[in-house]
Amino acid sequence: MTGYPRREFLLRALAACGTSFFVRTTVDVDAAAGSWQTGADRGPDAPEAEAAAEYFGGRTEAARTVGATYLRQLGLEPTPASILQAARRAAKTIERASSQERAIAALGRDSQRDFRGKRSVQVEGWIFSRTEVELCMLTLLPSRSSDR
Amino acid sequence: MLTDARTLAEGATIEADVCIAGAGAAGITIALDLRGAGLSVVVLESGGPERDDQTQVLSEGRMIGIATWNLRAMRIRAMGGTTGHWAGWCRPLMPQDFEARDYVNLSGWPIKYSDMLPFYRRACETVEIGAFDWNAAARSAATGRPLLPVSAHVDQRYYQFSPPTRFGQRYAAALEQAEDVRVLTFANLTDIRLDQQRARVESFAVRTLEGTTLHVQAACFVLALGGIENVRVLLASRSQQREGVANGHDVVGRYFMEHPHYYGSIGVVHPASLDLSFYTRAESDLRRSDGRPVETLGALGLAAKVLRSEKLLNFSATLAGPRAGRPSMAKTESDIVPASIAQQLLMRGGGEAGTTQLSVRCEQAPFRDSRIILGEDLDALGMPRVALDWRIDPEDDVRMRRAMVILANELGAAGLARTWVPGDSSRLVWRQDPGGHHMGATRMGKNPAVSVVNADSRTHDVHNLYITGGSVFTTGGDSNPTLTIVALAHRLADTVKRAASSSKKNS
Repeated sequence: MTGYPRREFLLRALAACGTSFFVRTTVDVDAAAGSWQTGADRGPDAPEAEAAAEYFGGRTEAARTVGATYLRQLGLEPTPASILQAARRAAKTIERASSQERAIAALGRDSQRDFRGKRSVQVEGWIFSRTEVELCMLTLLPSRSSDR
Repeated sequence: MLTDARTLAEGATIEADVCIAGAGAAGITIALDLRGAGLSVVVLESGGPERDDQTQVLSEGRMIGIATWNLRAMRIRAMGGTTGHWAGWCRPLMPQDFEARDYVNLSGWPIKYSDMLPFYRRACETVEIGAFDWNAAARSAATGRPLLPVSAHVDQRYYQFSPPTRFGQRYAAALEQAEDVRVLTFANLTDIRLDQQRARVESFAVRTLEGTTLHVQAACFVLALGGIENVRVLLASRSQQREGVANGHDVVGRYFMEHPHYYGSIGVVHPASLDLSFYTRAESDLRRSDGRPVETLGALGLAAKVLRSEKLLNFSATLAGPRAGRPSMAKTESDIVPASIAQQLLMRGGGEAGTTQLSVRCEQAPFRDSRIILGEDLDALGMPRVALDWRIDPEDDVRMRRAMVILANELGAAGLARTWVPGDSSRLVWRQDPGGHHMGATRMGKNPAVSVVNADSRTHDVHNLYITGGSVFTTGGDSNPTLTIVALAHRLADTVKRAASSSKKNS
């Protein structure tokens, strides 16, 4: 199977980016994203972010708000490593899928299963599936589609 | 026949087989059922045919717990009682509401749902709704309004709406024409007089606001004064016993319950294309006995097995669009993640989204410290006014929040919606709006240590004194209580008919 780009490769690549990969702990998503998109040392595109953005129909503004809020709620440092760690289930689903289309379909099923299995999370009072919140966090990673 | 008590001679004694205090939904139902039974019936009504301010002042009281509605405005002292401003919502209690649950303090009625069925059927006619039919799937099929495609964990249910029946107007002619029923208007029950053994009521002492004093003697006495006034009269009848009547175990007034309402405080985003017509109040295929259509309104709850396995209280959620300017409308979205964000997340770039709110009516677990007591101040008749100390067990908040999250999960699993539940991580922070449903303060049960009346609605302590109305509810479920109050009144009418007839024969 040709796996979707490997997580280990991604982590190594992101680690090379140093501290420019930064999400503010307030929910100022634009500012957070701006620190990735405008910097000279903008990090490489994260395929997880691409898939997550596609999952949300290419409109990531809402997802990034939820992702940033949830990260803050978890008290996590907004680094790529912590995002990928917090969103490891969704990232793994993306990684395992043979195509982005299949990844999105699998994520949709995971999301429904989360609700059925009571694996929902609360973000500012909204009850979301764990998978969709993980995807929201993944949209915070830099990608070619993050400013669509 | 109707008689104005103010026209009677001072000190008069009236004799009857049955005396009913209160001409509201319960009292009128019993009186009408006793017609033609060979019994003489006297009904005492504090007010007259219409509401008047002078009488209404007698309902004033203080609230010392959770604020509820104005006690004076909420209850009506006139023929028909509080049905004078009843909104007409009808649903029976559900089978599980009658059952004992190990996680709900003092739950378990001494009667079963099946015991109530014949009386619920009679009550449907009395309150002028359709048949006793509560099958949501059947209603959906008959009306063509689809149910939400959720799992069997969600219980689909609906309300029927009474016109609403104003008992004072609707049944005035029947009462007036009844030769064996005498309604005394402007007659206030002020004291329950017991025999020397304190085992039987000898008479009801009655006063008018003009000062006329009367006595009613009967074989059977019924208190049908409403969920708060029943308590007030029992506690205030202390001419012979300091603790009042039927209060040997300090239970009268305790375990007061309401239906906490979250009016529109749960936010829901969903595809705009979602058909919510079943959950909108509209005419249905059900018909009243005169052929007029009955309006219904769909609601969502959780299945009995889910409630039991998750140790939750019952609730019903209706859907309502935003109603601007409604003072009790709570926040339905986070400031940081507004509904528009949740909509985008749900729709994933495809289609329009809509937003609605859930109005949730909840069961409250019996709580000993939630109670009605007598205050220091007196009304114009010299009776102590009530102080209502409504409280909710904090555990109820935790349970209700969990219930809302489970419902949110079910809506999410069905791909229908995302839901916003207020509160912190464990507790549902709600607006504790009341429903005006006064229940439990003379509760029904087998054990006199924690109840006031037995399964026949007769007080444990006083053998010819019966109580009916919301105050005898053992637990309250989440259904609006009027249909159950009327059903219990039909049931009590049969009991009283037997008891009074037997007493008459023996004498």
